[in-house]
Amino acid sequence: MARRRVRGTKGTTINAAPAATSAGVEALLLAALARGDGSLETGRYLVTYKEGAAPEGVQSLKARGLRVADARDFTESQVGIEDVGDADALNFPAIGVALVGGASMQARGLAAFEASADSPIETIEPEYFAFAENSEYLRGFLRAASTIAADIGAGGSGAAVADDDDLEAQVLGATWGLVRCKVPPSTRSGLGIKVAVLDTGMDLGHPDFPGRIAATASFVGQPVQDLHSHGTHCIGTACGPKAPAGSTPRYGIAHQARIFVGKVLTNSGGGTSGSVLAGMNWAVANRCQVISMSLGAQTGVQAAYTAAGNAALANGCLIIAAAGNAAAATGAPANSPSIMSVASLDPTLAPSAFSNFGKVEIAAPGRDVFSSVPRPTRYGFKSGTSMATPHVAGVAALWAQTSPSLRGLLLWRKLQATARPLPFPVARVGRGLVQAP
Amino acid sequence: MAKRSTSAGDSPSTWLVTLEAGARMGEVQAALTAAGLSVTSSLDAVGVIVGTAPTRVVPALRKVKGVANVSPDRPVSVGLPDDPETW
Repeated sequence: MARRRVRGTKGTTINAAPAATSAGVEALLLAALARGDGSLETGRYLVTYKEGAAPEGVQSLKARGLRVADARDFTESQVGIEDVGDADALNFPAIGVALVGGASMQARGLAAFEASADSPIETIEPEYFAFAENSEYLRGFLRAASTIAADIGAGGSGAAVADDDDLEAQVLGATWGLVRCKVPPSTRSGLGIKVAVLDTGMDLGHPDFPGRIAATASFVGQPVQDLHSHGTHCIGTACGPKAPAGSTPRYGIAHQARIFVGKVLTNSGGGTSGSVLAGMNWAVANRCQVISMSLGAQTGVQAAYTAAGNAALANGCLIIAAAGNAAAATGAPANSPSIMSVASLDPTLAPSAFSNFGKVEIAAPGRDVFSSVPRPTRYGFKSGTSMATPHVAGVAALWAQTSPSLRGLLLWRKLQATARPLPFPVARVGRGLVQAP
Repeated sequence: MAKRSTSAGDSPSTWLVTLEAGARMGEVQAALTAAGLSVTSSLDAVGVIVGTAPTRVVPALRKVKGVANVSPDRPVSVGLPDDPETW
């Protein structure tokens, strides 16, 4: 007799907001994050038929009232999950599996699917999210795991993943970027300063930011919740906590600043100048003293950005933007004269090969930067002038805290005057490496 | 001379209208609307109006008093989540 295996989520408990079969990955991720249980389950289920019993399996689903779409009905079986409309299940006869929505499982009763010896169904299992192997998510997870392993002294052949110089700096308590910017010894925290980060949004439930988000707004028609990771990473560097839980190193600078999250880029990482300007308008209107913009396009100066930068300076707000990573002339908006342009440095303090040049005011760590990323991964590494920019924004908040007169252009000049000079042309590193007060 | 009609000139696209420093947003917006701009947002804290209009009306928009610049909206990107390099 075949062994019966019936597995659901935590026994037979289905989540309160069950996922539809046709739900897109983004909707499923949002639902999973809202659940907040840290699981990697999508809320859908995979029904596996017994060997050779696929036709009987799909019949058994239909017999229980499920509307079943079949992958064979689509051109060359290229069916997207979003294509199945209101079907309860999507059948993959070639592999003997059906994908069933959580709502359908709930409506039909999971018990109805309990396999018996004569059932064509072998197993029912939760579906899990899959992340690409080369993704920042997994890379970040592996690095964090190796850091933790090193910290607790876990030996063994499997623990030797750490091959990066920056790992050493991490286990000493802060990222290489924060150490180079003299952040750990600073007594400033950004208290009383409002920092706006205009990007892909933020993982609003990230455990490192309880009570830190002062306001959010989206200008791209999507929820502020960050499904990209770029925005969460930038906010982490500018405003992350002084002491993250466990063995995670300090990666954030202005740990008591109030965070304004402006989503001006979609979860695919795209937007337009119009959406960015709308975010700038929101941040200036909300009297943010610092705006961090790790975004741009490889174009000439755009008049609207220049006007926005001037308006910001006149309102005591400093806009800090990434020069860009094309190893070419600084892009927009950083090329506007009223916006502070940031170049990227390697851990050696040499300008990163990718970093744009020309109009550059200041430089900051941008290669292999460790910071927050959305759950479930929580931490990861990224590189770019995008990562250098929030270093400057965070340090700007620390300086702004030291005096209410340090606003706008005066804050700009203070950051430049206190930067550590570097032996490279001004066109590559500006006035040098940003330094905390 | 026959009146020219080009598809590029007739299909509306999005424009960023930058105001001169000190210009009154309400007055400029009214004049832009009269000139053929369909305003989608007035960003009064930064002095920019965003709207849509056919390309053929842009010369008229540029002549509106208080307008410093009219430029097409442009894409911005930081790359896909898995791209090795961001912006």
